[in-house]
Amino acid sequence: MAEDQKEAFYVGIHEPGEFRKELLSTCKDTIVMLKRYEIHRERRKVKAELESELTKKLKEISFLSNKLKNLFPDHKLRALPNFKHKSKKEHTEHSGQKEPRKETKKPDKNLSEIDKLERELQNIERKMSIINE
Amino acid sequence: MEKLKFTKGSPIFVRVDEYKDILDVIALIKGKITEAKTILGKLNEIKNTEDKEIEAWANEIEEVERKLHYIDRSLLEPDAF
Repeated sequence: MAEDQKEAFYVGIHEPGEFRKELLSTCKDTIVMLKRYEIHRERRKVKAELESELTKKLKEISFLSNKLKNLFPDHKLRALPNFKHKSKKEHTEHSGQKEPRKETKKPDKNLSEIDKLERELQNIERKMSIINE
Repeated sequence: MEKLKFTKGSPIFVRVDEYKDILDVIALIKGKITEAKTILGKLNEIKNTEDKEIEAWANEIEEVERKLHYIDRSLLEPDAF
């Protein structure tokens, strides 16, 4: 044991105080970063919850928009080119009958959510192009 | 059978009971939009905090790197006594 100590070499550190300070400071910074990461993880949980809530709201808006669309009469069934104004009596009788609603296609279960939305978008764009004609 | 065409500007008529439903649905959509906007505001706040945090992390990593470089240099290039 004593022989080992005789043969041991030592490396000199010129400013040990500064060296130790830097070493401790590095440890401190790393711990601060880890602490921040933990706070960041908690925040990400809140973010995920908010994103899920937002998705829910958007789905609700989409559902209500569809409902709104269905509440309006189907434009294909009205506005004949030779449309003539009916008398008030005729109009009241006619408006008493409920116009048939356009049946919405049931979405394919095999389609992904993106595909379903894409199909819906195409459907709306097609309808818009008919209106713009 | 003659194909019916939609003519621009032609009036459409909505049944009164359905008109009330429409107003209700519109009010509901408005409420949902307000709620969605509130959530979006919160998400934006989180995003801004995250952006600042990432910037702070990058600065801290650089600081740790600088300190480690000093330690490394002190150990590998010891001053002669």
